[in-house]
Amino acid sequence: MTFDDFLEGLVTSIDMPGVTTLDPDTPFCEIADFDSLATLGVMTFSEIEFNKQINGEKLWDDKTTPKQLYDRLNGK
Amino acid sequence: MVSEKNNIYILKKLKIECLVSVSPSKKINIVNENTSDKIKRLSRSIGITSKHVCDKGQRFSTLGETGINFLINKLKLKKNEIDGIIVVTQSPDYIMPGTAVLLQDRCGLPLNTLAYDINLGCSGYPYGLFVAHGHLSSGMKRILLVVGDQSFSPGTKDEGHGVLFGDACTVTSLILDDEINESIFSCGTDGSGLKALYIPHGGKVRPVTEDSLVPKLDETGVMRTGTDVVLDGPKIHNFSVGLVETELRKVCDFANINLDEIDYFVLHQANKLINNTIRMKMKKEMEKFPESLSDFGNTSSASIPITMTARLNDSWILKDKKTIMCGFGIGLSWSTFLYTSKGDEMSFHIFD
Repeated sequence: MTFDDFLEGLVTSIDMPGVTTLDPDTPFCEIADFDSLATLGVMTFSEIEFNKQINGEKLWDDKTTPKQLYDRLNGK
Repeated sequence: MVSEKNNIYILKKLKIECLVSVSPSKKINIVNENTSDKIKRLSRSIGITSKHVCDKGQRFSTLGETGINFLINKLKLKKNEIDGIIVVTQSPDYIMPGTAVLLQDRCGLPLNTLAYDINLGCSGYPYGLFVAHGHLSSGMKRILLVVGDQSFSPGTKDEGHGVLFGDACTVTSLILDDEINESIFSCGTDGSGLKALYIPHGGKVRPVTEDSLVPKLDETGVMRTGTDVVLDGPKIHNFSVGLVETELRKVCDFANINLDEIDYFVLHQANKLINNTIRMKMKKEMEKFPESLSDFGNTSSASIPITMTARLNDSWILKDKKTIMCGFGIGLSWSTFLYTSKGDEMSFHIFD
């Protein structure tokens, strides 16, 4: 999956009103109104598309960005 | 309970004689013209558009009473042909005694009826089948298994809770039948996960006080009281998605059948995100994974039998249909049950 496709898939999965694109380097937790439902969207997307389970708490604690998540899911 | 291997048990001769699901007639549509965008998004994500909830004066136990009386009429039973009632619920009428003893009296069952409660939630239905089989194997002729919850809390400030949970009760008549195939049961528990899904106030640790009923904003940004359900969504998600497929495969391997031979995978209806992720990871068609979430919400331990009666109608009781059930959640606790139908079981869904 290309990084652009990844970002597009994430936008669909988090299903946040008004969010049509994601900045690769902005941590998820710093996106306005990013909530537990959006976290679940990221987790579901990672499971289905990459068959990898991610820790929702770590997504917040580590201030993970979309780019970092993409690299992690691709084993980089 | 004849053979054991890796916490998997073979249950001989157990037959689901009759399954009756009882939903309250009162239906709540989650989305209407006044619904906020936040609730619309929640409804979309967790896959719940409506649900049935108890009306004033209705309780889980009154649904149970309706279900038991309906089943007695359908099977034309005499009251002394019921040897026991096992209730699986976390919505008792009283903290003590349990609901089963109340149902014995209200349904006019004899004084020599066995009656007790099991405190389990989402994993409760397969557990109930397993426990009932133990009594039948000891000589009892018929056990009624009453399973479900009244989880919906009117007036809760927790919007997630307000949307997610529905009320339901199911009554299953269980007997032994020489002509039925073996069933397989598997279970597990991880009590370290208790705070992933629990009610903080109301037990001996934190008895209810005035403060328990005051809504407060918690660290996750949710407004709830001490007697509301606390649900750690991401934790429950990872637990469920990581566990269910493995459990299903384990039971099928033990039964020496391929996953493709299963006619129906009836999973606890947790939420759409969890249930769809499990199905998509297993690469199975939707028809084999019936869902009742959209119309009934998460009905706790009743969600498996509710899905069977509401979505499969009579197809799960056609001869030799293989249905694998898997309950998972509060505890953390999980259980799996493989049932092969004989073809003369009965299945009903009624509204009270």
